Amino acid sequence: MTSETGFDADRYKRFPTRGPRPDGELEELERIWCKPKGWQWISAINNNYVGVYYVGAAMLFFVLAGLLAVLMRTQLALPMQGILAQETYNQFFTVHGTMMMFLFAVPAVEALGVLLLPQMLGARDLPFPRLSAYAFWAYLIGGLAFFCSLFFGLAPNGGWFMYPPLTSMTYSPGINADFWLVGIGFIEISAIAGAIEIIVGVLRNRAPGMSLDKMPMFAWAMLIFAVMIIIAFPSVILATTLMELERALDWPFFDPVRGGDPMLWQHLFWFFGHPEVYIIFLPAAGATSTIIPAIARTPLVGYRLVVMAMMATGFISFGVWAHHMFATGMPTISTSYFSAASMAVSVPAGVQVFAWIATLAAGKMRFNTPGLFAVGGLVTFVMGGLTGVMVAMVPFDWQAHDSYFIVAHLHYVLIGGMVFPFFAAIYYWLPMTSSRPLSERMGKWVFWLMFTGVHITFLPMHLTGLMGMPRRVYTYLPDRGWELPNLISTAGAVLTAIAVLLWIIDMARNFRPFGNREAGNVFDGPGLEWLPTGLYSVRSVPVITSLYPLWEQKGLSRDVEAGRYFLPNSATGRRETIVTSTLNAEPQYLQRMPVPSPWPIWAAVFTAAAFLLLTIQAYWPSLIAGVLGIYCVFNWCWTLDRPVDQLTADIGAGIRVPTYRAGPSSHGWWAMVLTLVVGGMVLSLAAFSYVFLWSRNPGEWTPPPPLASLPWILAPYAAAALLSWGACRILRLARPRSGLIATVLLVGASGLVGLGWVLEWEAWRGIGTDPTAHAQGAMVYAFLAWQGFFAFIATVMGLYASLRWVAGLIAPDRPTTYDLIALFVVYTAGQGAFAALLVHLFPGG
Amino acid sequence: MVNWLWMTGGLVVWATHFSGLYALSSLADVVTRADDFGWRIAGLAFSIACAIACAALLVLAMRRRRAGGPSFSSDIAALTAGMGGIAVVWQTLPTLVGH
Repeated sequence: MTSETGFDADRYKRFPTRGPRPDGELEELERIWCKPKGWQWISAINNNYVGVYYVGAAMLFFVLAGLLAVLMRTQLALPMQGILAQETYNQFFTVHGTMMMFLFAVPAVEALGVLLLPQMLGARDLPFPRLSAYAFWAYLIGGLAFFCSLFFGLAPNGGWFMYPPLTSMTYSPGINADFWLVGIGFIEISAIAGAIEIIVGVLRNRAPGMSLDKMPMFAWAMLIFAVMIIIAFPSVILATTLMELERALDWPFFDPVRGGDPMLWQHLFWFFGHPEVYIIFLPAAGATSTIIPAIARTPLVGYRLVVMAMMATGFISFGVWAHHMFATGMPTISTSYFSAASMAVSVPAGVQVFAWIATLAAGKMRFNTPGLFAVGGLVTFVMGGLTGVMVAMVPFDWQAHDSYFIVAHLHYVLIGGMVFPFFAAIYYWLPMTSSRPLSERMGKWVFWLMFTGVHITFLPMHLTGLMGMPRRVYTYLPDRGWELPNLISTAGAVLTAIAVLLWIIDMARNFRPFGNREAGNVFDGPGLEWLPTGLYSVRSVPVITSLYPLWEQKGLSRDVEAGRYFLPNSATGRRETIVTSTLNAEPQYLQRMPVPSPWPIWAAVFTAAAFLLLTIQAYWPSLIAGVLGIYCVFNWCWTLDRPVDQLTADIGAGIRVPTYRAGPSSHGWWAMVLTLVVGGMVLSLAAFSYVFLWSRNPGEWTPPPPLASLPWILAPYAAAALLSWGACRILRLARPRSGLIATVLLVGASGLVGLGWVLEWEAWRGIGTDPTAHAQGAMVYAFLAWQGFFAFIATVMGLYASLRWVAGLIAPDRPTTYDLIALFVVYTAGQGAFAALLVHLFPGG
Repeated sequence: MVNWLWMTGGLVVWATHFSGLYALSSLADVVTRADDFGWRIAGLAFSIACAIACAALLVLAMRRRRAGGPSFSSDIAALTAGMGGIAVVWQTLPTLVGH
């Protein structure tokens, strides 16, 4: 194999090392990665803790949303019932859908990633544990606030996709819709933070030798899942921002009377909303692809085909968003393209299903609880997939649209594709984090009750839908033939609820996390996660030579526990993990890991407060909370990028690697680039929105400011990019005043970005553009608002750089902080220039 | 990055194809009609170009595989090229069928 980084793979032959390890290594690891005491559990950042909290919170939201479903089914059990009032029912189905999609499905799989990936990849932890903690607390606070809105009658009531004009100020004048818009926008930020963590973790923190072809399927799935989040979620951030701007400031993005179009919301929402289905499905499929080989005791059939299938699903899922819009009157040829893509995406899904079936056939299936849930999920998902192909056909979709047939289809897909695999994952991996596994006997009861309950609930719904019952109705008239199927569905829902209740009892009886020992590898799994671990993850980081290391690398557990591999101790006396190359996982450098800190938690509390206060239009308290949030982030970052005592460290068997890395190979650089990709996606989708709205009413659009103003706007942006680049170069020159000059240049660059923004704003204000008068002005001001937000962050970063320089924390051999700020400023300048060129030149005068 | 682009090449072609067809039909909808004959022929030509690109990627990946290059990336490149090709051909059918 050709080396990717110049690392000599022959050095792997030094492992496992021979001879006894020095005394005290293990004790030192235990001291450094110590267990939190007392209230420290709140500020814990270890994945072993945060992952468990995260999964627990996701399951809490699953149970709460499920409870709403049971109440709705009770209301629908018989015609003309009055258990739930119409408005309450509207709020229930909106909150049920929203919670299941935004507060359970996505966070649950992300949580599973945070919990499992470090051990699965042989890392000490994911690269940004404080970010994981921030994401979790932000999600928990935001989610609880969202759910509690039900108790005050403030819960949103416009359906989980919140279509305008129903959700516009005209038809939804209260703050219910604002709760959804601001709350979901905030929770998505948390999901994106988690996705960045997962991408960098999977690509850069794998055990040495774990090349792409030896990467566990779950890691592949999480990587593709996280990339999809980075691409898809900006769309919902943009959509919710535009809608909130329309509601708060009367900017008419979705108002057709003033050049807007409600269809824009549908495009933006479903560009996120349909890939979201696969975002939920892929990690669950990754879990299934990991669990099925373990329960069938044989390698997965067609590993490479399944990797391809996951990639293809990730790509093609972005080409199917408009199949939710077949009934909106789009041109026939366009709907046909989306119809074809919707059918094409079933090919990679089918590849995965056949690979699982072939694996089960090739091996010897054990019908334990994870196995039952995995197979039950497969059966249910295939049934949902088949009706998916049916609704991908436009004429059929027209008949079934907005009927209970669709409710049945989507629940089959989501429950089969995500809920059952997730339960399989809980039963399979729980012994990794608990001193006792869950009960097999009870687990089988849970499975059979849930499997039966789900099918009894949703199978009749196909008929109810084909008989004409529409979705989202709080009651129905008798004598339409809908009584019996509805009654059966309600009975099924009760069975499912009993299954979930049994599972809760099982968890209460047996789940014992954070102890000194774990139940261990009760299912004989082949992955690294089943190596003996402590809070430091594995005692030593093994060299990986197989896709199924515990099955095929004999004596691995023993040697890892004896410290015979990489990093058997703490090489620098601190928390650390090995950063490896992307393709072949060759050791590159040692990353110092942060220690627990309350700042990420406070940052989450104050950002959540800022968003929630914004919802209730408490603008000044919201601003104060925002400032406090920034202060917390300053403190969070302040302890990072500090001087290193040793330039290189021995990570085992005499192999030395640097302890600091800046530039494109550093993990911080990757995280910043991914963050900017999110910004770039929002920008691209805003550009799409701009062109889309123009295409609706080209004749109504007015000429932009005179072209002569354009160079004056572009010049500060170009200068800002140049100064940022210069700042990084000058800092690296290591001259006596390099730090001062670099700081001045960086502060100047952030100021120039602000200047460009002011000039752009002045140009449009100068020609009297009013954002409330027409969608064109609204879009221009939306670009300005987005750019203004970035310019503000660039200014805050400039201030941060100045403070670090004053504190003597800037040095030529530690340029990461400045590199990242410069990267951000260059992007902001580019974004400003792109937006200016677009709105000035298209459609032009 | 080059390696990732190589492995996902066929799917990148599919994404380009999808975006192109969507853009063409949307533009046609503004200029004349979305399913105007001339614009559909432009779409067809674009589809053929994309299908050829997928086929070329498939052949290249197979050759690299036979020449003893990195087997995993070549296998994935071949598979994604094949999958991309199927999806491109399937998505070309609406241009031909029913008009």
